[in-house]
Amino acid sequence: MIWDLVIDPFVAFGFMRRALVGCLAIALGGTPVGVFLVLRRMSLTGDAIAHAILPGAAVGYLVAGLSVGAMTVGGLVAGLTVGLLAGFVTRATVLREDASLAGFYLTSLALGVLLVSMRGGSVDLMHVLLGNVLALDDQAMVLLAGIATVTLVALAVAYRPLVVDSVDPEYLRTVSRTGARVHYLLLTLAVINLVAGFHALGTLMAVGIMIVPATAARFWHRDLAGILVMAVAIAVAASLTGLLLSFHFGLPSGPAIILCAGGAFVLSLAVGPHGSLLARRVHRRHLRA
Amino acid sequence: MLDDMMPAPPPRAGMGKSARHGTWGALEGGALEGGALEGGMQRCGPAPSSPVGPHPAAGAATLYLRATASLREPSRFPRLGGGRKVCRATRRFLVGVPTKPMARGAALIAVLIAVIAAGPRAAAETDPVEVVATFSLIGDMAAAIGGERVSVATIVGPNGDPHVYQPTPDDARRLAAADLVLANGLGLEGWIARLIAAARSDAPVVTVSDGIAPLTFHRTRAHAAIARYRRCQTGNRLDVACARGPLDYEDTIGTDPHAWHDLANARIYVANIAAALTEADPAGAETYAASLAGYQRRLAALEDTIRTVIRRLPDARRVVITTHDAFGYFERAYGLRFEALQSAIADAEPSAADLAYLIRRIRRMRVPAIFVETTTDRRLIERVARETGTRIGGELYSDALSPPDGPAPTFLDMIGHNIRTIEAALNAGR
Amino acid sequence: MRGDTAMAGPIEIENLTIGYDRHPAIHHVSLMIGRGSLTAVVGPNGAGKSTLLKGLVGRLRPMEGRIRFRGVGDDGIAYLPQQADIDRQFPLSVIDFVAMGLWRRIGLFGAVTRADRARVADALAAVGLSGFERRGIATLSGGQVQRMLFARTLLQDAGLILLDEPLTAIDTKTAADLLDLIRRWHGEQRTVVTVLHDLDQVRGHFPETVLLAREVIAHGATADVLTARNLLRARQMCEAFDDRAEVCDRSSDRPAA
Repeated sequence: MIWDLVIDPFVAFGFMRRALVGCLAIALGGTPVGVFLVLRRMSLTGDAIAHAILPGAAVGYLVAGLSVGAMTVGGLVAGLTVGLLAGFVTRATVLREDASLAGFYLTSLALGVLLVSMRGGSVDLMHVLLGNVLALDDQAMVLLAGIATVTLVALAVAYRPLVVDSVDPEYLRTVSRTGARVHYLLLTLAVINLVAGFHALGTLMAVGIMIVPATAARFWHRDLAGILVMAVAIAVAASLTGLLLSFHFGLPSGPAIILCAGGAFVLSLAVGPHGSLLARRVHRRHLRA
Repeated sequence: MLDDMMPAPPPRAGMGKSARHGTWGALEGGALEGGALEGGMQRCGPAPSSPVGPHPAAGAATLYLRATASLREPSRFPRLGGGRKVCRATRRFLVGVPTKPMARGAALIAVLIAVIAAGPRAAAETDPVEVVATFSLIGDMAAAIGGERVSVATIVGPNGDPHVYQPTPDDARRLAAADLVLANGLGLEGWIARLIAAARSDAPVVTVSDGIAPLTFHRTRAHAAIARYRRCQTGNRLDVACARGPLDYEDTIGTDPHAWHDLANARIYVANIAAALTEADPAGAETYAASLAGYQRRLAALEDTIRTVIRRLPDARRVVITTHDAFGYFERAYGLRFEALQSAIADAEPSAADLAYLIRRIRRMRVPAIFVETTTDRRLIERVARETGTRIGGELYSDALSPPDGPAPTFLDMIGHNIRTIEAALNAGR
Repeated sequence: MRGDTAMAGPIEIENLTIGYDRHPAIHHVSLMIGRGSLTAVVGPNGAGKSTLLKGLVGRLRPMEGRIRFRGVGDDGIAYLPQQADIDRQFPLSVIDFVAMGLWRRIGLFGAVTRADRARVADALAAVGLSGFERRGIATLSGGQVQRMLFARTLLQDAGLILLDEPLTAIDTKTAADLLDLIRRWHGEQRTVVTVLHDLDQVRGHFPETVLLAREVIAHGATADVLTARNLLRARQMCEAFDDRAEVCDRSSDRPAA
């Protein structure tokens, strides 16, 4: 029974196996980046970058026609430009992350819409650019795996300064010059995970897998390492459950996966051990000291 | 790094220790004379010397007052209420103005008005009928019927997807300038109603699919097929005849808009177009009738070709796998079975169940080829092909024509290309 | 022993003006802070004490003048700001936070040895936070956060230590302990500059004082600086910025001591 429900779909169908591996890759690479974004109050970066990549995709389309590769590269350049510019403005001026990112991504989006309409856009560029977790070809798999590896290595290398920059950036500035670099690194990792995610999995899945498990994991652990591990675990579990729901009940796969993650989020915020609604209302009997 | 340039913040709340001896507050009541300040200490309050310069606004005010002084002199303006004075001023105005240029100007304006009024009537005799078609297929049909008497503009061009199109201001302008608007109807162009309202065009909108027998569809073929499979199964036995029967459309969610793939419907389309053109431009009625007849003949010939090709296909190979369910009418009319991944609305995302169903079907049926479409994302269908080891048989044009240099620049070419591609791929490897 | 380097000399602040939007927070400050000295910086609110410290750390760029370090702070500058902009909600434990003080020693990749761990434990004990190792920083009170920051500063083992009102939210007993700590640093030949409000503490523990009220009123031995006359002059400083002030054209001149 368990075999039929859970294991057999993956054994019988290659596209299910690929989908699972693809989800695993983005859970390993994107979700930890998402944890840092959430902790640094940059959770809406994902949506902003999703809109910001339009002019890059438009330029790619103008240059090379409906080539998904050219448009993805263009989108990557645009996303990196917007992300890094926003990061620079946050550090160098009075604006904070949310305002600087909003300023740049909206400008970028407007530029993209302009470029698209100049060419008589009866082609919906974003539709062409966005992928589907069930349609992962070899190229997309290699891209996802590569980016997951790069992300994990980068996070391991920059872990210390990233944590310090997130808690006490002033201090990092006095002892080292890596504060700004680490901020840009985080933005770069976010952008490449997002763009690869859009290309392979579509906007909803890419942003959702990055951010939603991170928000859920907050309620289970109080230390950073625990949150990271829990977030990845939730992402993998949501991917598995979502794919199975899509398989057995005919639900579209991307939304099913993110709904499972969302369900985990709601459950966590209701009854998680730390800081949830339940934890704040119901108190266990206190100790003597 | 120039953030936080503020001076030191005010003292914290915990600083209420002013009662303590050593803090600044103790100086309040100290027995210290306020003696003269030593040099080097800056004074508070306004500085003794003159300010840097006049306030910029003050300068502007002075200039304004000076410039308008003459206007405010009492002698320039007639005093209101002083009757005789007003009359004199008004008379001075009327008398002073020369009349000759005024007369010339009035005459010029009259001539211009006459020319403009006369213009459109004269132009209407020779101008082509401005037709706006919603997408390339209808545009091509209108051009074929109307010939030189019409000027056709298309909103969704070649290789564009009419299901999910986003209109632009250019489209609204074209609609406003149109004499006739042709739309497919049947829910294909979800965006058209708002566009017409926004363009405030008073051109008649003709639904070219009026009069066809519509087809409805399930959420996905997979669901319909699974429902039929369950219906036809008793215990472990499957009633094969039942399973080969028609899909039950009880669970319909809409009308299939791709009526043009059945050429009998295409004949109705062009007849409707000809009627609409005749109504908009009665003088061209003969031209339109002649074009219509010729087009109908070509459609009939094409239909013969299709039926011949399909008859020649062996029974086991009479199935075409495509991306979205665009060929329901073709299937109903000509008996060639179509299976697709996505439903006819093409925007709904397929689920893993749909993919699994299609893969199982293809493996069981052992079809020779799978077809991609020009308007939809081909990655999903390519994945299905890869997984079942089936090759891609070619490209089908379902919702749009190709660009002029492509294999399907007109509607007739498109139908021809489709059937030839299907024939070649399904007959291969026999 | 510190102070043995050939370049050893005082910190020279020459005609330093740091301000905001053309208004000076401190102007024409010229000072020499001796190497290994223990200096308190006092003054009324808005006197620019924090600004002076930020200028020393390099966080604010001067409008005029400069600072020459002459080798002081070559083995690091430790700066404890007045209102630390810490994200208290970040899931970090006290021990990890305090261990940030080891940065100069271990950098990006250095391992935390057992000796380092012992040093961290010592630092926590010195500020009275033993037993707080595993607590999250979100659960600490204001005073405890201040002590945690102090422990980190301790760990930094720097040659120049700048403290901006370190004792504000702390009870008397701990304040006394921390003042002992500061004295210990002084004994270790580190240069310590501290901003304080409590003149009793200054008189009791700090041999040198700078009385600042936008510019230097007096600088030198504490008893000489904290006279009634000097304090009155400082009190008469105008706190608000004057938008109608004239452009400053004074060249550098040292104020009367």
